[in-house]
Amino acid sequence: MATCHTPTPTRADAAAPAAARTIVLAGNPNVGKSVVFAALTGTYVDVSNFPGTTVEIFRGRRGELEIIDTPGVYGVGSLNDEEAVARDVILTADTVVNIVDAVHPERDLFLTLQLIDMGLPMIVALNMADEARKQGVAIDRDLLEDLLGVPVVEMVAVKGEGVDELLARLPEARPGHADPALDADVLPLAARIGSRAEAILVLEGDPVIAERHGIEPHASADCVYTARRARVNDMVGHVLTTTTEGAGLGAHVSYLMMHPLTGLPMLGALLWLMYKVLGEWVAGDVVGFTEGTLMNGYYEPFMRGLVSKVFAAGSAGYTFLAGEFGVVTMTVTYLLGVILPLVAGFYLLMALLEDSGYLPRIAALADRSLTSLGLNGRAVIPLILGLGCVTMGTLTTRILGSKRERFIATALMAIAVPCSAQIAVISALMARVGGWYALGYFAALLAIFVAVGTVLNKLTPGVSTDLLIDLPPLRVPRMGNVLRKSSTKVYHFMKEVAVFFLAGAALISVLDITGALTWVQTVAQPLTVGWLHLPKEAATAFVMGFVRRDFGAAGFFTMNLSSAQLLVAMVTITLFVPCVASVMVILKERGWRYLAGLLVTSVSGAFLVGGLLTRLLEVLR
Amino acid sequence: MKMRNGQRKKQQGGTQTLDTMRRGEHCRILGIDDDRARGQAIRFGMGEGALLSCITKVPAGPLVMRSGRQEIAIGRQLAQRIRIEHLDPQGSC
Repeated sequence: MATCHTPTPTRADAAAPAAARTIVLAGNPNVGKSVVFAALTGTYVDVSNFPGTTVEIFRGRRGELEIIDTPGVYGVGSLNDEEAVARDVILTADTVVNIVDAVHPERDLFLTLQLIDMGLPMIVALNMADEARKQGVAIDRDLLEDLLGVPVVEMVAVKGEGVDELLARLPEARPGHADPALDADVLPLAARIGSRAEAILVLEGDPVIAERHGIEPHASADCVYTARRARVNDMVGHVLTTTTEGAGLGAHVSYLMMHPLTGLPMLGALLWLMYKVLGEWVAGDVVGFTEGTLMNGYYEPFMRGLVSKVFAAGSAGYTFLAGEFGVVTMTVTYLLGVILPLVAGFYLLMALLEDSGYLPRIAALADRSLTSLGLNGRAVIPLILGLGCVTMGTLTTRILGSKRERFIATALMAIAVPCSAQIAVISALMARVGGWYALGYFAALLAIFVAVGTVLNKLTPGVSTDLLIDLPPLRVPRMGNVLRKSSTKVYHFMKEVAVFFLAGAALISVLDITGALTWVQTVAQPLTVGWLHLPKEAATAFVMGFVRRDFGAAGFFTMNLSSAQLLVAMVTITLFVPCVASVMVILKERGWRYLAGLLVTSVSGAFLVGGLLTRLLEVLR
Repeated sequence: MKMRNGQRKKQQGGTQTLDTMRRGEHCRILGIDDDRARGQAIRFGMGEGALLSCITKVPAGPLVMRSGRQEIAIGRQLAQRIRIEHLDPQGSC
């Protein structure tokens, strides 16, 4: 027990709108919480980042009720950002609606009992009741209600079943049967800090809540957790009957997905399909229409006409706004015509993989390989997204468990992962040079990816976290869920990065107007011509590659290069610095020291590898 | 307790670690020597005392363990820090 301090004031309440009652939804990940939220509120009313974090929370209204959705968590505490946000939102609740997956009560009831121990007025919604019945899982609802001491309603939220009952029984929400064994410790603590909920958290060793009250967190977390787990298991033993074993076809497919012999070909097939759909169709046909037809054909001429009424064509103002890298022309075209369709395609794919349950199995399959690069299987998520857009991948490194992993993953993507816009242009170029050179390109990139990861794993201080993930059952993705998840993510990505693309284009325009761009091109020529044996225009392509990676690659189209030169150019420009938007996101996420180190490494690395490759190819010929 | 062969790594005091599990075998968790993972594991129902069965062992990769109808993938290195006792399938659940 800590020495007695005066309790410090708790955090200032975030401007909470005056609602009659605040209903907070809480539950494990993927239990259909957002579906229940949508069913209760009709639509997402307001989405915002929780202050000081990147975790999103959703607020909506239903009559007098303010309804808040929280991130999916397995428990409330300070284990990660999601838990901390869920905790802080739950602490403001008048009533907690705990969504429990009826198929997995033994997992979900841990959170339920924690919320009950916290003494919060609560109601439990057993969601996916139909799915549970289908899988032969029966839960004695009345007995569960007796044991928990709070109302329990059954729901099939995707079909809107049970919503009325939930709303009707909301007034019955009450604190449930907390573990009496906790009382001896909790009651005095609760009396002291004025909240049973926070007292429980302090008892469980939550350092943040303890600090808010100026006391030491208790060291009894293990003890409380173990007792709670025992109660969950006991309760499940009483209320749950399973008539069929969960195994079968799903378990067999699940095994095949994770075993390297079968899993790698499946992953290969997935990547090939991704390339066909996202690399060829979205990055080619769709972007061809949105960028070429819509933006270049209609939008840009219109904007140029508008700008030329104020600034004379060729003036600095005109160049800045509507020139080659114009803030209102190229940037908008790039954002809406190129980035938006690609990012939407990739988020949609990720949502499909996530909802089907395949994604965590890819993580398990890739864990072994990623461990030797200092990452764990979870890093497949930012890495796959990085193939869509490196900026998007870099932002997603937030899900990784340690600073060390974020450090390594960001560098890997910035250096050795080509984004889909770039892949589309590179594939078009490679189609001219034949299979061996195209294969050489991907082999060189893979070798560099592994080499960079291995070296960073050796050099980066700290310890990486290990894989520890839930493998949800495989199922056919629910389209409503997939669309809702991906559209939210696309919206947030565009909102977050638009400003970086704008600032990047503005910066390049200023360099162009001041003549700095021409100077860079001239200075770089000895390197491109002398060292890489490329034409002198190649310098322009490298600079363009900084504005938009696909522009850089596209610059080589008109240069009439030999196959060997093309391979060198493609490898070098892929390794070369990421686009200006990625650079700004890296600056924001990792800081300027990291960025400076990365830029120096990638520029020198790109030219070193390019030069060596040039010589190797010349010797081979 | 059943021992199929003597190749299993013996840890201090005769306890073994999770990475010695093979597909189809059952065990009881004795302890998790990783502060961060312990809190997460208990939330998943895989804390000390939990009965698990090994349903997949990815070669040189993670182990997939089942507890009730909950499946968890555990990285190989973390598995080496989880102390267990092997159980005879008949004797457990």
